[in-house]
Amino acid sequence: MRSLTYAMVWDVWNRSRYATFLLLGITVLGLIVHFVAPESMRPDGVNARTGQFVLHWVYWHLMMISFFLVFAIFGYTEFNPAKSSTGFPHRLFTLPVTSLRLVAVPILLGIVAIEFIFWTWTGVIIRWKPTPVTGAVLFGTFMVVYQAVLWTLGRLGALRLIVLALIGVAFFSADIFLTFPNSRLTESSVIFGSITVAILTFFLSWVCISRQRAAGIGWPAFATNDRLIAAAALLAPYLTYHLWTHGFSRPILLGFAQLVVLALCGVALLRTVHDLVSDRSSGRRKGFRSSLHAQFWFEWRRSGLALPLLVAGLVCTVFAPLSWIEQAEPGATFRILLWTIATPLILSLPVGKAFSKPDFWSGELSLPSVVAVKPLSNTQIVSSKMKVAAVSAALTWLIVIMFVAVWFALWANAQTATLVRLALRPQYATAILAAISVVILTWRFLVGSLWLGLSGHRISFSVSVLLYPLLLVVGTITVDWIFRRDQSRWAAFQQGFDAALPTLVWIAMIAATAKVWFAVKTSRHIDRYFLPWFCGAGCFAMTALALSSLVNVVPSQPWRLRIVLVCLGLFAMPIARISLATSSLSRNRHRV
Amino acid sequence: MHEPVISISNLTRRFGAKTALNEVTLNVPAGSVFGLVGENGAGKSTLIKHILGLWRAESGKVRVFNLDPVADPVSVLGRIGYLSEQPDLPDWMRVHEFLRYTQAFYPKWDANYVEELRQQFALDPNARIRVLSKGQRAKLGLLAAQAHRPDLLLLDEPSSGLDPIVRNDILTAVIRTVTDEGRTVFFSSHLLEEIERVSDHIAMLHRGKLVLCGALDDVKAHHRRITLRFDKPRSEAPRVSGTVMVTGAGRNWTVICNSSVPTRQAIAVDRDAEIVDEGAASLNEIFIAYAGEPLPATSMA
Repeated sequence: MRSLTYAMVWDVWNRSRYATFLLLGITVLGLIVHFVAPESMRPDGVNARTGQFVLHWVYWHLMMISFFLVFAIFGYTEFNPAKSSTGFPHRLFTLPVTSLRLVAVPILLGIVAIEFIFWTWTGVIIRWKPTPVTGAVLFGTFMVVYQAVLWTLGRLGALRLIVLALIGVAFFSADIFLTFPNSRLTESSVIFGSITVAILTFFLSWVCISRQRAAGIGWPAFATNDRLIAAAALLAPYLTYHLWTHGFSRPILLGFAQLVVLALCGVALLRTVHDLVSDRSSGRRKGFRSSLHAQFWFEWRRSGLALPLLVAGLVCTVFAPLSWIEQAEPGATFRILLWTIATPLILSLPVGKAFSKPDFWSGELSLPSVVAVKPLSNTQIVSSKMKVAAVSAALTWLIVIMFVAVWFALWANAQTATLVRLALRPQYATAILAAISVVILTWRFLVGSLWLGLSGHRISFSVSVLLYPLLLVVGTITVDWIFRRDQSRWAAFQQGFDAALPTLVWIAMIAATAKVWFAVKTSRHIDRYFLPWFCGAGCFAMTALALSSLVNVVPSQPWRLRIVLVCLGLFAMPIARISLATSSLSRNRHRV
Repeated sequence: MHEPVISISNLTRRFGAKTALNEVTLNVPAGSVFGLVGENGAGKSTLIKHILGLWRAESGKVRVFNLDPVADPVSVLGRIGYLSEQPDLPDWMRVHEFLRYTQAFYPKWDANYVEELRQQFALDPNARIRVLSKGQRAKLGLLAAQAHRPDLLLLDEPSSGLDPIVRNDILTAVIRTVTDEGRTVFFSSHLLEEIERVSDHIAMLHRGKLVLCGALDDVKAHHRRITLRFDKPRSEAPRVSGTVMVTGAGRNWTVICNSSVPTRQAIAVDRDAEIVDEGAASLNEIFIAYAGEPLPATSMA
């Protein structure tokens, strides 16, 4: 090898050369189609509309596959058995290169690759007008963020995909918002913000990889250079003021220099905060009242804050800024409110899958021996997980309610706020019931998979994880098919549902009876859970009844619908699976 | 006569085609230091996991304190202190947090003893577990395992891969536990020197089968090493009663035998043999004799 940088480039190439060949093949195919296709079919040809219509589908799919391939190639991570997590290739830490080079080579390569593919498709093959400069900058930034998330949040495991998906949605939304006629965002502000994020993320990756290399101790040299930090700190207020008032400096190199100085200052600030927090927070100093309290604390520290933090993160980074930007739009305010309320429920599904494993952050499904050899019964271990889930769900909703309350009190669109208040005024009891129900539903999503996760059976657990995206796709297609394309289908659905309702009543009642019977049979494990189950199921049933009177879906047989809803309320509260969770854990802990 | 702390009878465990434990029967007397010897993969850890109740007995019976560890894990594990070869410690905790967390499970936790051991092991209470070295992790694991003064201390290769100083610390702690309070220690190792130094009873596992079990003194007393020289070179090994292993060629042969009969009587069949050397076999020689293959160089120390 001629140099270490060349060796690192070769390493990136070598580990994903087949994917690279495929990527180049697809891109070349796009180019061939573009140049070989008859004039009339080209998007820029005489019959541009016809050409776009014919080639649009092919181009769009090939371009999307290309983008996915680029991100797959630059998902430059490896599994570290010592930490049981996937992150920056640990073996490279022993190479005689600086951490800066370790981080910079894959990031810069990734940026070059994504920009090459992006411009080849949008500039040469599809020839988008106007030139999508913002898109190119956003893609480049997302590549930096993508690699940083993969390297620095290794402990999150598969949850990193959710984080990346959320960030991706935010980037996509920024590009979409630009097209809105009354949007406050401008192209230059998005480009400036995006480049700032990229530079800050790059510095953050550098710091994190340096610290990983030093086993979590120490900072890279630039972060400990007091003169550099002092100079950056002195310049930072002026630069922030200048950026705020004059925007991104011209020439562009001067602007980048501004951002680099600000990033240095940010890292110095991060280091100071980290040092302060490390010195001050020395962990729990109090003893525990009992073994159950200790186990609750253990579970809480491992998994309890995941959902509240995810929701709080989304509220701070997405919903709060959006609600501020779109405060003039009543419709947007209402949609943001709906999404804010739906978020804990949606996120509790994937988080619940991770939560149901013996250890939230580990891919390993066997019970960690630190817990397995503790003198705790299986029922107590399951019970502590359920309690943590309950507190986690309650805290999550507290965050959401606090945000909505502050938002509606201070900057929400007045028209929407009034409408919401008017809608709630006669229905306070229903609103309170619904609020309790969504908390219980969130809890239910968190604990619903315990029986699978604690079993230690990898195949059944993996299938249950894959089921969610599958159901999402099938559900979306079905709902779209039934409700959106053709109004007659909705009418047919209503009629069919009306006719099937008597049968549904019987099925629901038999199933509810079977559930209660199973609960009684397995009461040995869950006798303490009966009261919460009864209260939760009652709450669901009452909420269902209250809502059914508001939404008159089946006017001909409302009483039958209510029976079905009450039975569904009984079903929504898990009981059999809680009992199964204890047996599953027993099989996992005491392996056959 | 004390009731055995651990009683295992006819325990068999298979992993697919491989038999990890084959009809193992052993009793661990109360107040003893019981060493379990065996080559890598002999089934030592599997046996310990059965004692902890982490594996259900496929066939046979495991009783600890006369209780089934699978059916009653709370009662059994509450009286056991356990340390594995690579202690599974929560990396995200600090040392003092881990000790507080562990304390909550054991009513008999001795805080003064913990502090004394912590200082002896030079463990920083505020250090995060993830930054501890392998030796420090082993010390912390041992500290947590014996802080509640368990009736049974279960150590699964506790000093494997550790430097001599850390190993000495661990052994000292083990010996002190036993001599101070007469509690039981069951520990596995393939470091024979370690076993010989601290154990008073040993069991030897070879490919899942228990080949030897008893008091260490008895085992050593019943095994002798005899070096024989013959007038003429011979192609076949000499026949000595109670032979476990024979090595040598030509005129010189060494026999490890398990026999209480006098040497001359034992080699009565080969009357032309001259006894060049005779003595008690070391544990290392006994192990090699039963395991049938030489130990790695590191284990010979």
